[in-house]
Amino acid sequence: MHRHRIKISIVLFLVMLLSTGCWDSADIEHKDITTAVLIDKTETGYAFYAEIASLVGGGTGESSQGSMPRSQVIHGGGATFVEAREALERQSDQRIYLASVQNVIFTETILYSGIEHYLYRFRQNPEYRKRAMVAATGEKPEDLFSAASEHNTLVGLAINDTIESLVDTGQLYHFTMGDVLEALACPCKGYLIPRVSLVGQDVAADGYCVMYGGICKGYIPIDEGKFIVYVQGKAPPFHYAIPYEENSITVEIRLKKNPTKVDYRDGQIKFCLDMVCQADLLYMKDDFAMDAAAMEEIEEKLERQLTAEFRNIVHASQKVYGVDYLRFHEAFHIHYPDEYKQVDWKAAYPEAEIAVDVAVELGGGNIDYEPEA
Amino acid sequence: MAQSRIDPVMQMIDSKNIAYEQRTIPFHRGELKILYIKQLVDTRALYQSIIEPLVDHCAASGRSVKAQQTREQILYAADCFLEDSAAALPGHILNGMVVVVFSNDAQYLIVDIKKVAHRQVDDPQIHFTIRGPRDTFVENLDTNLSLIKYRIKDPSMRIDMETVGARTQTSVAVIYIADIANDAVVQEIKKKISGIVTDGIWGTGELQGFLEDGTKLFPRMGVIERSDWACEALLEGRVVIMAEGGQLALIAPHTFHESLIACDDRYDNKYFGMFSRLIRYIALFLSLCLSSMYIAIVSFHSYVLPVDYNILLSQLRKDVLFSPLIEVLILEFLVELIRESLMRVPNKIGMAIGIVGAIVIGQAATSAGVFSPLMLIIVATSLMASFAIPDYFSVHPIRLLKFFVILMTGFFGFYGFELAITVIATHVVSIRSFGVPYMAPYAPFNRYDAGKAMLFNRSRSPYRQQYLQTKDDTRTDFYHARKMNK
Repeated sequence: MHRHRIKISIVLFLVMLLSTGCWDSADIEHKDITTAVLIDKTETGYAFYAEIASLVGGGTGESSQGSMPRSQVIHGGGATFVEAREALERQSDQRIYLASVQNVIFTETILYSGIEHYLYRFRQNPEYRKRAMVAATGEKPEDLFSAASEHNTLVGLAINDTIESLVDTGQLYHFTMGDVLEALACPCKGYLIPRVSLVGQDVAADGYCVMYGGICKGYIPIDEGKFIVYVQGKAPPFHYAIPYEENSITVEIRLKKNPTKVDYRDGQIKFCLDMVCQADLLYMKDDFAMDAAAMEEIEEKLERQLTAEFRNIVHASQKVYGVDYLRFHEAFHIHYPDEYKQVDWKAAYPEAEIAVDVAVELGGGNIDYEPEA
Repeated sequence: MAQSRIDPVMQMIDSKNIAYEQRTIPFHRGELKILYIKQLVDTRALYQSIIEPLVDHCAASGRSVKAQQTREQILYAADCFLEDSAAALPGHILNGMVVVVFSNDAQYLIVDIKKVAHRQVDDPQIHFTIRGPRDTFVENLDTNLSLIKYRIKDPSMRIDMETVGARTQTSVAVIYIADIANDAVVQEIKKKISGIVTDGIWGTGELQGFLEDGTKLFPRMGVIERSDWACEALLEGRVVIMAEGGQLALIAPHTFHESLIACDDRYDNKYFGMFSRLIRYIALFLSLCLSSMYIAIVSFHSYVLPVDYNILLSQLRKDVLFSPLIEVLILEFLVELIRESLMRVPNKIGMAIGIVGAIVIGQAATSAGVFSPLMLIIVATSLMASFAIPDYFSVHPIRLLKFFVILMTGFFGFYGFELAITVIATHVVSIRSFGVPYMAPYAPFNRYDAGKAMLFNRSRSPYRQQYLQTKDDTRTDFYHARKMNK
């Protein structure tokens, strides 16, 4: 009986072992570690560029690297994505390892023609990480990668680090490939892809590409898109300069977005974007006595300017591009789930009334200010 | 008549071919013979306590002597008793006793003046301690029993002696405190000891093999060398087993978490004891799993690491000759080889072996590209982690199972790793040590015991461990303990 049980246990164990398991073993040193992938549309079809980390061997210290490049770029093109991928793989002597891709970069050419086909390929590939960031570029792929090689850096990591640091300071918000796939699945949703370009030989973020579905609808420079971050609900503090009389006053602002108010009556959708701003005076160009009247005036001015900034953002989203990348559809969906299913959001969004309400509370901050007794 | 009573006894003893010495002392109308093995008795005590008083008495009294009278009025020896059976005499002689045979008495006198050369009580070699007592058991059973008796003066403590081995007649002591220990455990142990049929045993190591039936990998009895630890076990309701000739004692029942308890945990601050125990649990995991996880990540699941680590790993492994699985197996084998050789080598050249091992494996092999530096770090960490586990004998199954986990992971990736751990966990939870689940108090879970297993302080632990099902589970007076807790 005991032996019978042992035999059954061994058989069950072997069945479990052989019925599933990791059969695709490949040692890490036999893979090409890819840090960035760039997709471009050419006259003859499509082109892939892959940035592969160079292995110097024996550690990553400065002394061991010497003058060896940190990366090499391979590219392949073809009439279809399949042919382009095959051409790319022929360039490499090892298996291309896509799980280490930090950035998927699209040129503007392919963005304007549509990336939906590629996104479906991406979704089916289990090796790609959905957390890889997505970026757009107006530069030529050869220029972008050759600038990186001048500095002996990895483009994928450089773009990643640039976007992350701008996100931390509230100047940009980033999108991952997983977010793009999610947006693709939702017909109401637009999204923004950060765009990078070369400033000299350095990679810098210069704005957003406005996307709907898989097609680019336009471009927002980074200066004009600054407050988009706050409409998304993120709120890192930032500095803002406002002119006052002949002075220029810098304030530190903390913006907090309250839940958007929604009203739907007689087919008319109304939103109220409600922002609360806490501002502290930091410093000013010329010293002058700050009193209660000045504070009140500055507060009103700040309120007007911030309201104008947010109105511009809403106007661009609604009227200029007609793409809801500010996620008003989410608020509408929450409050009116049944109506949401019946409304054609693409047509309804540009006609919606969106009011902007910004309340500012100004504090003395670093500046000497004595309130009235 | 005098000769006729002694002669059959002497013939019977002679027929056993025992190399003994004898001394004959005549008395009025008879004689007595003193039989002993010279190497086993204290010859000075023999002369002073037995021979001299007998000679003086027999010469002076002019009367015959008998066994009872000799015991009560003549001998100066403290430990002597009467024996009625002649058949037991060879056993007593072989046991180091002095046997006195009288020509006019059917009783025999047995005197215990054994003196066997043995080590002095020494510092611990296996269970090192900083703060606790350092007296350890030796090969002499009487010395060992004295170390326990001077610590526990409870009249309920029982020391039951058994004899194991047809030829060695090894004395085995089963020690327990009668009003604490679980009777079922005591009876089971005694039954198993009495059922041992063998030529002989040389210590508790072989005895453990007889007492632990089945084919389980993990030891179901604890092995201790320190007397304070044995006393602690007795107070908890466990049974301590010691054998003549063995310097280690066995305790039963034994659970897995006790392998991770060091002696100093009891003597130190309870929070530090808990911290130390957590480190040991982590060390156990590292010892078993670290090499396997390296293989899983490098060969199968590189995507779990950030890209910088992937690049670094690739760079480290770029010039390595072997695949990760082969590399790990070779290195682990070399480490085990060094561990074994260091145990067998004389002390004076032990250090040289260590240096050679470090140079050969650490420097030369890495430079030649046989191993990657990271692999060396991982295997060294795994080795150090195994040394952090206090119970040396509990590490043996870990050392074996490590290879099983490595092979499973090397062939089947993380799935194989999980499967191997599942098999090990299933095996471990199915073990019972004399009726007590081996993974107690975690499986089955007992909240009180699990809490005390991690955070123990005697002043705040009024109850003994519940999973031992002792007769008396109260360590201290509960109301006293509550008053102290306030």
